[in-house]
Amino acid sequence: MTARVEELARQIASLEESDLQALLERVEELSFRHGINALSDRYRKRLKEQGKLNEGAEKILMQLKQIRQEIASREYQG
Amino acid sequence: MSIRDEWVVLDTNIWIFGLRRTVDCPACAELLENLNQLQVALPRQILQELQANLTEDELRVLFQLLNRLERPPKIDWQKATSEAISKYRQMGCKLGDAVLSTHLEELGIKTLITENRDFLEELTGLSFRRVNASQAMAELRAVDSR
Repeated sequence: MTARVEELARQIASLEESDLQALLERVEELSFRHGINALSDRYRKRLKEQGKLNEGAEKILMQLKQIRQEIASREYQG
Repeated sequence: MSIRDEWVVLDTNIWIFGLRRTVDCPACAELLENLNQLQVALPRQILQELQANLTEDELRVLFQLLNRLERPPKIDWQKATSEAISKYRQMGCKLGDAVLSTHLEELGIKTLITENRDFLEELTGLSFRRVNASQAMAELRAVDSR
């Protein structure tokens, strides 16, 4: 553990319970946001490589509707 | 009861527009960033559609993230019943939308967040309300400002 992390941990541990709870919740929120944005970056990179990144919303919606119909038709034949 | 306190389903278009950060729908990305404020259910039809759009690795990362939420998602792999699907088909739903409608009814979910105009504008008499991503974000902000 680096000295900086150790110092941060000491500061956090000295917080009052309510502040500590609020801090942990905020860290969790920001960490999730960071994760979802990283996943988005990765997905967008793949779409760009496939030449699909700039497809318009209408085209995407049509493709999603088609996928929905295909899956439903396969699962609920007749 | 607010949108924060009920189970909601995000239609596949919300997940995909959000991850793509589609310019026409910035609220979808905003909604995904704020998933910690929602209780999300993922029924079978949505799970299968996500599988069709994302790679195995992208899905794994998504579920790792979702399972870190304070209120992890409700995953439901049950197939929809054919009687209920028929009911929604008679109401004018296409087969896929009828399946999703049945999932919502069978899970007791009252809110679908979607950008699908068939759901938003054309269908009536469904057992759940439909809001788009912007409306869902507005509801979240309204809860915050109370």
